[in-house]
Amino acid sequence: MDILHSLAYGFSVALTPQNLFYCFLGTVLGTAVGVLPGLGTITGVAILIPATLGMDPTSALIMLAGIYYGAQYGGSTTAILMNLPGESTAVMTCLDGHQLARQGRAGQALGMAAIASFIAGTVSVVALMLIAPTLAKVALTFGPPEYAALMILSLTTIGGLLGESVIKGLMSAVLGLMIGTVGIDTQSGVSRFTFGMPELLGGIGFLPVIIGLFGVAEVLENIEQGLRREALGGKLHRLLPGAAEWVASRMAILRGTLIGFFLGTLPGVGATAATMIAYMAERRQSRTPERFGKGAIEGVAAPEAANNASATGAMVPLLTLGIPASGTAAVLLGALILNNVRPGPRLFETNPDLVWGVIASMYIGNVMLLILNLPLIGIWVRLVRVRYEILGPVTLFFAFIGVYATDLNPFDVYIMIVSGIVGYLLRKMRFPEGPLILGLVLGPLLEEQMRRSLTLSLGDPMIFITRPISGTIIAVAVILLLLPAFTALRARRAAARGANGT
Amino acid sequence: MRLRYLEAVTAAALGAAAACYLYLAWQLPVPRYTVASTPGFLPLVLGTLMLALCAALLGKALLARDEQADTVVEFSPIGLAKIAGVLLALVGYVLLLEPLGFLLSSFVFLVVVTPLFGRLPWWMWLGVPAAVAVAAHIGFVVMLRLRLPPGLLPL
Repeated sequence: MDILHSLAYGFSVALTPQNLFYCFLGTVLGTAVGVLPGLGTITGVAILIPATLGMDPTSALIMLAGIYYGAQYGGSTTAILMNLPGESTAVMTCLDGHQLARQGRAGQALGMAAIASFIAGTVSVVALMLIAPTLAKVALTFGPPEYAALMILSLTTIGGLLGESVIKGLMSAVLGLMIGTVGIDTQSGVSRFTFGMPELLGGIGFLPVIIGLFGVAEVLENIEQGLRREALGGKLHRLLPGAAEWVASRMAILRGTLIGFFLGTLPGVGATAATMIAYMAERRQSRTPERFGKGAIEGVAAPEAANNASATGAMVPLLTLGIPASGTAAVLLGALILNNVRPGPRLFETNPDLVWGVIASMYIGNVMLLILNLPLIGIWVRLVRVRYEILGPVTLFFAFIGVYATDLNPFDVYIMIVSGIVGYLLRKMRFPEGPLILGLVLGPLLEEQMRRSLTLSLGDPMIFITRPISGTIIAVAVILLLLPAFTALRARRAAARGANGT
Repeated sequence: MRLRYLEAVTAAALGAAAACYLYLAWQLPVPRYTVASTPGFLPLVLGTLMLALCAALLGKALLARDEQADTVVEFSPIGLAKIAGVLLALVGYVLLLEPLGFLLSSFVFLVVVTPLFGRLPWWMWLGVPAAVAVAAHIGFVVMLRLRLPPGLLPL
């Protein structure tokens, strides 16, 4: 009953004209971000954060969350029509979606993508609504050591599991943490790594770094590669899937939703991995796996359900623990902090309007997205054809204004430019940028919780190991960190044994 | 350039930076007898961790014999020239913002930077920047009342 009351309260918040407008704006912008290749979700959210500063925090999060899950809907459009994923989470949709488009069934593929996204989005919001308050209650018993351990787990899993190399992921996370230590230490008043520059006393701004690292770096990468694209022409026929397609896809949507939501809540796994696992699971389940990759409608339904469910799943640790499970969630966390909101279990008590307003807005946003992506699909198809010669400069322009207009400080723009160069180089050398952002956002929070823990234990670091919950979390972090090395070692031994045997 | 060489260079550069960071961290107040809550503690841990990770990456880059390490990372000279152009245009935009004002400098920036992305018909090359700059001026200055530099135009 408690949950229903809270949800009713959430709807009273989300249904105000102002919040409805921001929900609509977020879903429209999110779909546009997803549709446009060369503009990722993180970039889209990052560039639009400055527009939310000064807004009511609830409206700000409603809009930013709308961009996040809206982008998952939009990513499928370019994947199906152009064989080019608008988002990394739409990579698997390309495989069968584009084949369906080549067979003249683009309308059904787009329709199935929208409907699977809607069902998954709605079901996972129900799961979020049921799980989040319970988890928040458990988390209320956590002390500083447990929080510090959770942040370490988040950093090690995201650092370790994202990208191709554990070492590079961890280096990226540590670099973010190091950048987070620049500026005046709030507890002692000592200035750290400022080199006498007054601009650095307040620390290196989160906003210029993420906009540089994602927005500017993405443009630099695209301009070097010379982004070109070509959409399949022709009219879209029959957007609603037929009975046979429904029967074939209903279980795929359900399985995709479960896989996506569960993996979305885990730090480090991410929506892209969730879509891959959902697609593989569907192919394995199928009696005719040979159809996959040649235009199987389940090959569109499963990953599309998984990526939407994953985006909602990522909101569970963010809202209940203040721990981001993905790079985009880390950016959302930063946006909340910039809006003077501290996510964590107390958020349900201190800001129920924000938490329940956002949850209720996700129901509304999913309905809006269904309307935007079915009857209005033609508009998005036209948007796909916007030339990068126009989109690239405009992205740079908004990145610049977003950073400059926040504090009217040219120094922030220079930080953005440097971050853009660093981001470009990281991409070239295949370092994941997500852990860097996570380190930058979590760094000050981690330091605060660590210092509180050490003060509690009179300087004894064993406090992180001896307390049962923090000890277990640290053990999980260590196991997850060492697992890839063990797997590689076993594979190498097996290969050596195989070579000796032959 | 092969990925392994790039990784080795990166590890060396980041390792040097980490060593400097560690040196500076050592100058911060650090407890000598207790591990406690002081401003130098976390930087010392992070500096040491980064050095260890750099050493691990350097070792991997030099010793690895897998296909991935030998992947060639291409830097196209034309692409790099375009990147340099974009970065210079951004710096120029910062420098021109005060003297020219938001509207004019935005228009100039977009006109200068657009050809780096590819060719457009002349009316689009000039029309899109003009439309974007005017729309941004109306949105940010007129509607959101941001105090962006007015510059030369009496706005």
